Amino acid sequence: MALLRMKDLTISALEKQKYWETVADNISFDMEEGEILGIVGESGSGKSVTVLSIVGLNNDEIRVDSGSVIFDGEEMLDNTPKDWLNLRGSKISMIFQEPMTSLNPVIKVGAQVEEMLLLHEPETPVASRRARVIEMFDKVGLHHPEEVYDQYPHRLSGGMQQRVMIAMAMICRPKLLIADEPTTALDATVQEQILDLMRRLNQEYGVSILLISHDLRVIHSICSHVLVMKDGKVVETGPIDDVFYHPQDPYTQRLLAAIPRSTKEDFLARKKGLDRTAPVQLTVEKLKKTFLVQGNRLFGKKERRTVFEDVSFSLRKGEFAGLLGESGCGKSTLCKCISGLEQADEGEIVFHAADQDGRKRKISMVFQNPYNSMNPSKRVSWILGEPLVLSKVPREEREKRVREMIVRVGLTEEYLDDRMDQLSGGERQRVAIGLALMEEPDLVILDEPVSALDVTIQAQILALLKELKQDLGLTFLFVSHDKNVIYEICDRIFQMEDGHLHEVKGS
Amino acid sequence: MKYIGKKVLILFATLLVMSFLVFLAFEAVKGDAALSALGDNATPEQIEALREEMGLNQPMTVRYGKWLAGAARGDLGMSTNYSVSVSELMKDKIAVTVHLAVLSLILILFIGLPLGIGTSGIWSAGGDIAVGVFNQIGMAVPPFFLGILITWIFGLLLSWFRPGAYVDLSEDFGRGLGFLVFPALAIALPRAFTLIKFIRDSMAGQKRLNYVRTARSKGNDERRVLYVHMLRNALIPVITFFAMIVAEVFAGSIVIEQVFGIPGIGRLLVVSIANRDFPVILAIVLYIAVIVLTVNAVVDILYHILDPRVMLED
Repeated sequence: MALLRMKDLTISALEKQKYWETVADNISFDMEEGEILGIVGESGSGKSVTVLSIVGLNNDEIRVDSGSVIFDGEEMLDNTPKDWLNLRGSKISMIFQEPMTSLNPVIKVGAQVEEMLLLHEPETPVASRRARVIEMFDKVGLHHPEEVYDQYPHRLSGGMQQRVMIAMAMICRPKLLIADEPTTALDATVQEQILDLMRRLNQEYGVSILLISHDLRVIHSICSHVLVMKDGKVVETGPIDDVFYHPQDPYTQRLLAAIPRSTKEDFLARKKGLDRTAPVQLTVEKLKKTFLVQGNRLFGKKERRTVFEDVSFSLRKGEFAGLLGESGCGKSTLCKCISGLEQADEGEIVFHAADQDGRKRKISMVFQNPYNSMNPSKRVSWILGEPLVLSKVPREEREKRVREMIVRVGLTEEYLDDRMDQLSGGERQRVAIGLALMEEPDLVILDEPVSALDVTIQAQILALLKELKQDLGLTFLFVSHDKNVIYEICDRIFQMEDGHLHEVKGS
Repeated sequence: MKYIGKKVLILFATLLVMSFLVFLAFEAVKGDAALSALGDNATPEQIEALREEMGLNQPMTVRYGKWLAGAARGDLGMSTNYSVSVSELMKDKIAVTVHLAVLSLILILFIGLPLGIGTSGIWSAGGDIAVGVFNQIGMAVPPFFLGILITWIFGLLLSWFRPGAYVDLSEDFGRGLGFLVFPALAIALPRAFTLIKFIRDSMAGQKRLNYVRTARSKGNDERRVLYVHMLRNALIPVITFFAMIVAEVFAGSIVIEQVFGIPGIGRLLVVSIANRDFPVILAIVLYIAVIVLTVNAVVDILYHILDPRVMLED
């Protein structure tokens, strides 16, 4: 008898408050007790609505049309609100993609976990609840659990927050843990730790885990079986190794091909062939940056913390450099200093070409999230034309250059009349790249430009960047936490670690 | 502590700049205390003589210097209209306005908070519209009209209080309160309804946030999701709005004090402007500045207490 049996589940979503559209179509699968099952798919594939329907947490704009979900012998779709309350948290619990926003910002994390005991094991004496929480914190690998208990979420790192979420999900010993992209917002090393933890909990407690991810590598590392979803349908299913190494469906094949697999060796080989005769474009000398941090108490003293120091490097014209580092290591702050958005405490930044001519430095940036980094109500032609308006390029010339650029970044002229919010994430990121290139910049800073995108879209954007790098001879600084992506595209790589920068070289 | 020290410093700097600006502004205003004291029938010579006597002919910088020197000693000068010291005059009027303000704020909180929080669980389209319409009416009625309405209903029809017969709280607390509650209601109602809308909007903004989904996934019922998880988060932005109300109410309502005949700061301001009673106007402006800055500092601290993510800036 399977722990969870989904049969022909069909779900619709209300689109534009007018019509219902099928977002999950005849989904069926079985999940055994103690199994780790993966569901992989890109955004819009219907994987989240499918899984949320198991716990009845979809919002009003989602409705289940037909099918059945049997969990632990009971039909979930017949549940009354009261049934749900008894089930959620105690038998089925969840962890989510963004631990930071998934925790209540104004409640101490210990109390948030303790709430689970209050809700589902009210017979636990109040005095021993705290001890239970601290014990659980210890189990999920949080150091100094007593101290963590009294912290607010924002004081913890992303990895610690996700551990708190897992402690919360596991404290009542549920039968099923649903993990919706639990590692997507985390750094690579933290990602592995969290996956390890989930595997360990699975073995120790026998909890079944339903893991949702857009990343087949994540699924591959801990799942035994996998469902591949696309446009609301299951396109392929089977034991993970079969799917991962011998994909049958063309979509699965494409998904696998899109994963950047370049290694350090590939990068070193490319680096050898690099032209080292171009003039130096940018020199950064002994840069140091510190921040004021508020102490713990209301009127507590502030302390100065060093983000990075003694950072020196130079780039030649036409180089495509990568900046690698985990979140919080200071790579974004370094970019802000280089672009002039922030002032460094010490050190020097020289843009040779611009500074010699005495003209303004032209530095453009592409940001991680194409959804909130550009004005959604403006048309593409307006967005691309704006820098030219500011530098008073005549109208005809401007329109010509905008038309050239939209083609350059792989879109067509028809896109020029669209508003930004009509574009998909990949299309927006193309516009963002086009915008960064409009004025022949001295340096283009790409700050995690592909990490918010689906793998297949990511592959397309990387291909575009490779093309631009070859054709334009511009200088790029590509910031990412993903080694594979950096190895795939960069000619030189700098790594930021513990506030210091060093270049990755062949031994 | 450093924070409070800094805020006090800012307060004094602001008072300095504002007092200077008020002096500057009055340079541009036609007419002065001498003119309004003697009336239309006075000869130019008489007016000139009085000006000389009152020191109005001295250059502005000299007058400002004198005023500053006095203010540093706690002497804000004499009212040119009432011939009493400004501090003496202000003391009584501020007390009246503060009584009215405190009572209004209590009413705003007692009406606004429970209704705002209570109705924010109503998210069905129909309930939303019903609450919305009721709310819009409450917000849209202008205070002076509400004041007249209350006077008519409770004063004239029901005779619960005597319109215009202000009783000071220090004379007779019970009767004073019985009178004051009606103007306070006129001040409170529109603001209470705005507060309701604000709380509802803020709550609605919370309901799609991830932590609310987490709260549901833990097995919380809707009541607990609302009161334990969302409320404190939703109240954070409401504080700023409430602080605006506090500052506004303490500054004295010119209209309501006029309609109900209450001898508070608002009425004093109107009379003083008409009579070009410059020292009094200046004192009132500074009083309002002190209120606004104090309220803002308190809000900063409240923010920090309610939202652990917010740091106190200095």
